[in-house]
Amino acid sequence: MYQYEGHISRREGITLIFAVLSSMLFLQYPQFLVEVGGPAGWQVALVMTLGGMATLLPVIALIRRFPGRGLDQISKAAAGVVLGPLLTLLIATWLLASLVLSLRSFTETFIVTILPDTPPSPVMVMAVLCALYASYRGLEAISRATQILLPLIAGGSLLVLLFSLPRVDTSLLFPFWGHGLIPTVTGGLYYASMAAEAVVILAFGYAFRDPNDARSSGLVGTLLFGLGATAVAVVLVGVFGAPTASQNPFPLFNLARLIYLGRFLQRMESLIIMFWVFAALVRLAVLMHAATVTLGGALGLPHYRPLLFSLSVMIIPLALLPEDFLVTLRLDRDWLRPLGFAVLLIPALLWLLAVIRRKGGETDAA
Amino acid sequence: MRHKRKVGFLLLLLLLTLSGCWNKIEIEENAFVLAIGVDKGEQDLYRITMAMARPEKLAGKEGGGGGGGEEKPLVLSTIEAPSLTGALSMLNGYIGRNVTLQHAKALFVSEELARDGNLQFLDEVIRYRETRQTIFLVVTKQDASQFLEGMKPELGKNPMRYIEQLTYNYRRTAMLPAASQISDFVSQVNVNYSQPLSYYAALVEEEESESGGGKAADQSEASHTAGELPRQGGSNVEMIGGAAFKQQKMVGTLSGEEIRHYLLLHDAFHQAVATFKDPKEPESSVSVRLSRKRPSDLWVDVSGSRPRLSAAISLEGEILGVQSGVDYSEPEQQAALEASIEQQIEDSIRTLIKRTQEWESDIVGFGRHAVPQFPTVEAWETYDWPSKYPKAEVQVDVRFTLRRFGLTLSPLQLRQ
Repeated sequence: MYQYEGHISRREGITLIFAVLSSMLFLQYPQFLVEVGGPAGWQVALVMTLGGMATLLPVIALIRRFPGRGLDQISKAAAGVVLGPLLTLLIATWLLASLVLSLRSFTETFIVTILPDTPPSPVMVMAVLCALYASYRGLEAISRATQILLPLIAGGSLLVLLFSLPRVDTSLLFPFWGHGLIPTVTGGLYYASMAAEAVVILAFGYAFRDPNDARSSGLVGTLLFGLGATAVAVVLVGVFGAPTASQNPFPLFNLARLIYLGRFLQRMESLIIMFWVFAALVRLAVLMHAATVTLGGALGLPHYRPLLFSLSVMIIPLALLPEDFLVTLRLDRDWLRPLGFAVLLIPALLWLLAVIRRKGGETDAA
Repeated sequence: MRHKRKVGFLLLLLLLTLSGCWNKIEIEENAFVLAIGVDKGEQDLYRITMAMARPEKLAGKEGGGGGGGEEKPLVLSTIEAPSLTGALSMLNGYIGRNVTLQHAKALFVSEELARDGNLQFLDEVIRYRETRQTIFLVVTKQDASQFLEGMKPELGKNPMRYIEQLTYNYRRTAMLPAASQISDFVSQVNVNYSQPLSYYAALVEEEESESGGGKAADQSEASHTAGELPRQGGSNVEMIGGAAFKQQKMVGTLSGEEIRHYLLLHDAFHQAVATFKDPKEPESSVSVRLSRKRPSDLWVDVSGSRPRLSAAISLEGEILGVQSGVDYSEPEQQAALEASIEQQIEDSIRTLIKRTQEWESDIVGFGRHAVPQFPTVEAWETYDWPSKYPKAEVQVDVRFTLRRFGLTLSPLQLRQ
């Protein structure tokens, strides 16, 4: 029997989901939104939020149907001992891919912005060591560390947005409908898969004492992330204009570099780098833990910890595989995000199977 | 005990990080560039001048102390190179320190190069990690290298702080654009809702400044551009007016007075002292402190074949001096003066807009007020604002109210 450890509350769940998703706002994702929506990039963010919340509904329904259970147990119960682990394996693989690309993206951003002479491997090794330690300590340790770090990350980012407000030119947010309603909606729905990382609540489903907490964590966490993405898109376009913003893979960093309130307040990027490191570590730790726990369950291991070390060794060479930064961006945009939909379809499929096979919920209890 | 060993081991591991990372560089190993000058090259594409700080000469109190001798606070080096980063690389070959642009505050571009529109190096300014988009862009009348070489601030020894201080004056004098940072320039070039405007500066030789740069002496205080002020003494740098661009190509210069009207239209005007012709005695003038009464209102009607540009500006003022001796505190006289000032400002604004239309450069940013009327980017691009702007009809409405009359109500009767 697989050994799950730790419990998290609703508040910790919301913090965890929000932290995992919002760390993407430091990376190239706001640029993707502006690329699709032009001046209406913020509308794409809103559609993305609603789409992301909608795609989470099957995940939540599944957790409610199988309270207190982890993904591997739910899969086995809903889809049987053959198909179940296979579907769990698919989710674990996607989480691993997301972890690998996140590691590479964060490493590239550090190298491009602050450490141009540093080879990527030392940065990756340090990041993976931190994530490994956090994951080794377990979900409770990660969620509590996130609770401490999130106010700093969110507060720092909010400060950058607030100090950027004097530079916002509202006319740059027009034409109001950007490239038109249809590209905005389709683009928003496409990037709804940005919330696919919220599938970690399914991996951590066992940790919620009350399944309603998982629902709040998923929905509120995604909603907060969406609002954050909308705010970043507004400020980014309002400051740089859509053509420049759509070519800006380091949005918060570049906004921080522009803060210039006389001689007194300049060079805020040194502050943002600190929050950036926190955000990167939280995201990597959560993804690593979710991927390991899920993979361990799918492989039928008694505990996730032995897997941690081998996975840690594996993800660094994998993260070094993409040839350059642009390949990393394209892999994320053109492969990881569409596959995110497939990952979100698996819980829907599991839920459907559970309903058809009358597994879980009151039926199962009976 | 085991726990202590673990902690000890971790602390030992931390020692490894104390040596710093690959990017470690001691502060005294750097040569900090404070200003970059770019001119048209003769052997290569650009002639790039780097003004590097001599920290010991910049230290200490402004205007005194700090180091001795006649050494300048900046070390200048000019090099012909195909690019900015190329020049940086070449400089590292003989400067003897790591030349870094991390503290560069201003980018001076010669008028000759700006008029050629050959500003492709701006891509490097945006892309390169060391340069900041908050760098000021200043177009210089002379070669940028000559400007940097000859610049002599008299009330301080840090030339870059002096330039920075000059830029702060726009709030009080309204003779400089509100902003001329690379980020604004680039976003305007990319978005095309309005065209860029940058600071304009000139170096004046003593003889040149005494003759007022060849301009008539009876002009108002703000009608001059940098390098044309009729003056003696003070620093040899003049920074007044602005350089107008169409995309990345400079198309003309604006005088201080035109910049004031630009700021009024741009809703970035705070206050300024202005001189107007006296309506009762046109050969005399009336000095007024102008301030904004209400935010300026600009709107654009794009329904016709030609766009119609409208501007409503609301100002208030305080009389600072009346040369003619006319008592403008009398209600009828006050109304006449207000109407005259309104008319004079309206005429000047119309002239300014007409000039920008001749340049086909919407520096005022009427396009920013037109764009909300288009639902999509495609509709806006089809309308092709840059081609429509020069043909636009213009309507300007200025409202001016005299609020105060200085410390006395009636003027001195010097003429009696």
